[in-house]
Amino acid sequence: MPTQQPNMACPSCGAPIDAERRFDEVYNCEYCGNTAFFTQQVAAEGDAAPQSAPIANIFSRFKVGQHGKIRGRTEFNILGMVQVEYPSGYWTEWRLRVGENEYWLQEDEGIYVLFDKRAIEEPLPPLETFQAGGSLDGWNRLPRWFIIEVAQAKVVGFDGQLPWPPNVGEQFTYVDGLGGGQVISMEIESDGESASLSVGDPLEYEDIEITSEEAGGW
Amino acid sequence: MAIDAQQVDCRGCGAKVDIHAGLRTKTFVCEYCGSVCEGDKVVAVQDMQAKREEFKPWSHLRLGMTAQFLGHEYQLIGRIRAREETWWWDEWFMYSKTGFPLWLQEGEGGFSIFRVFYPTYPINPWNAGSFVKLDNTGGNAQVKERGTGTIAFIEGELTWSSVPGETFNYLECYRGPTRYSIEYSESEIQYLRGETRDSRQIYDKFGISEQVPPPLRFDDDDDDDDWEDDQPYQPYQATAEARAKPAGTGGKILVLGSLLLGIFLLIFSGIATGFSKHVKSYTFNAKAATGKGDGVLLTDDHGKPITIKLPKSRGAYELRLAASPTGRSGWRGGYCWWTQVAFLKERPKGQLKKIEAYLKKEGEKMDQWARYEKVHEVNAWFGRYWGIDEGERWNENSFVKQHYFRTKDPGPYYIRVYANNCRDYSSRKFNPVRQASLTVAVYKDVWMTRWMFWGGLLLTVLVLLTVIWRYRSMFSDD
Repeated sequence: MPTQQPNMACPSCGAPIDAERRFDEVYNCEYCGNTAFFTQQVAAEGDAAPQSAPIANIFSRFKVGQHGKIRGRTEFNILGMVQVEYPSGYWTEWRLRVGENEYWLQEDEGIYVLFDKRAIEEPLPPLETFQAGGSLDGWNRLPRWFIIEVAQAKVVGFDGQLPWPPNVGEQFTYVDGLGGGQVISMEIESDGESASLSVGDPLEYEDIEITSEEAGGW
Repeated sequence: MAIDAQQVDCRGCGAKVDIHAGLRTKTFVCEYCGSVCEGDKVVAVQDMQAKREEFKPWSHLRLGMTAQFLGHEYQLIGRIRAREETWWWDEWFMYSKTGFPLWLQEGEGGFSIFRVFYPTYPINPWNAGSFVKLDNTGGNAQVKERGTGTIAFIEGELTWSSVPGETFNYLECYRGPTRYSIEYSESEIQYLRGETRDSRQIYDKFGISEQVPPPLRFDDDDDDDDWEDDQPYQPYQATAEARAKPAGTGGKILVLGSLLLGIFLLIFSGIATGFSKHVKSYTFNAKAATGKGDGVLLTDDHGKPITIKLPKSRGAYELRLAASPTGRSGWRGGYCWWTQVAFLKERPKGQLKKIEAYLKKEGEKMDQWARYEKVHEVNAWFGRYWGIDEGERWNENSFVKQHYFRTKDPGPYYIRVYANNCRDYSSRKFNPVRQASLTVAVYKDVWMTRWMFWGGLLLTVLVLLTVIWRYRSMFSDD
């Protein structure tokens, strides 16, 4: 018997909604055929008051709560996720716990990157210096990196345990680049001063294995 | 097994539209009213009745078809028809159940499958050269096409924003079956890596039993009667030549310039090889030497060796020596007159000093001119030998010699000509030369064109091979 999500029902016919579909933003009611859009209550760590965040069916091989291995040896658990909308589509960031450490696994158009946060120890370059096709050399002790994307994005949904309450709907600027065989990503808040920096290694699909029962298939 | 569809409302007409990528679907097209929807907005409207027919797929692929790639199942969920000036291609968007995308490109070259990747060595497509290296999977890839594409038609759904009429820059690179595609704009550079796939293989994977249509050629010759199919070809006509365009204006200039240079070198080497300017001919009569046994010497009126000043020459010099020694005849023997031409250079104080010259080896043709040797002088004999061996009379003679040489430093240069009887003229074999004369003809600006010839030939062949490689699809049946 499927688990049912409390207080969730089809707005058209009132039929209960399967809890397994609780993260769907688009819900096709199996009783009346109506298509409904939902918002979801999700708690974030350190956030006493749950906030509303629409969670889409993110169509991923991953789910919060799964565990797996990277390259056959590094075990991880998926603690949470954030879904981000950007001009070209959506990407998903999965919060992984690996031993005592935490990483973010970015999933975007079939590309996976395992990101590690880096401290920003130098003043941010002016925003206008970031342009696709340009490069940044020697900043923050990073190798020379080639910028491949600069655009604005916003968090549109999240799930599971997160280290901070996401500002759903608030736009930020992201800068992605490549350098030293790694992927470098920076997210700059709308104030132009607060930013976070991540450096990651690209992974192939085959590098990641889901070992829990809920493993998806390609 | 097909991906489960969800239904969303068309933002234009309210009709139920199937989507297969959940809310990863960024753009979807209503097949009824033609609305191109993004989120909750209609961003464009396509006249589906006309466009669907106009932009019908060339192959038998259709949305909804599924196939196994890399061991996993994919479904065709979207298609873009793109054009670039006079040629067209389809981008089929495939999606797996777990959201892994693949792009199946269908064009004149058949099918290629792409996936997004991060290159080890990212390049800036705005100023990429003719060859690029993006990863460590092989050598350099050749940039074969670059331009700006325009989206002419969309059907199905896409996980990114796209709208008919939108343009994008692209760069297509090839290395054998491996392909790289870079799509870029002011804000984003996306790298895709893929490989060409056999059309029959693609058909088999999708379970299509129909005959594979012939490769797209975009010509209007109706010689495709052997393809029994009820689908007409794409009505847009363009030539394969127009599609197989060289890599940019810079590439065109380089190819054309190289070809012209190669042809120029070939023609110039052919014309200039035999070209030389006759300067002057000198004729000297030899005199009997004063000492006994010294034979017939070539000297000037003061008894000194003949010295001739050479004019300046941009090319090489040619000396034509014609001697006419005569001696006593008989049944056996001969007479021999020996000459030596030394190369001299005038020093600042006017004295002449022997120098080395670069002499073309004797017996080699002019187009083998590059093989020369350093010498201080060149020796030659003139005369006749004759006799009878085994009852057969034989006769050898030599009265004309040609020498080609060039100098290294600026002149002025001189040649000094010596001549005397061969040393063993007094032997029993030879008769003494009784009288002799020598004509020295000087030619200048003789061109050493061997390197031009081979350089021009190499350049021309390379350019032609490049052009043939670039246009090889015109010579291929598949």
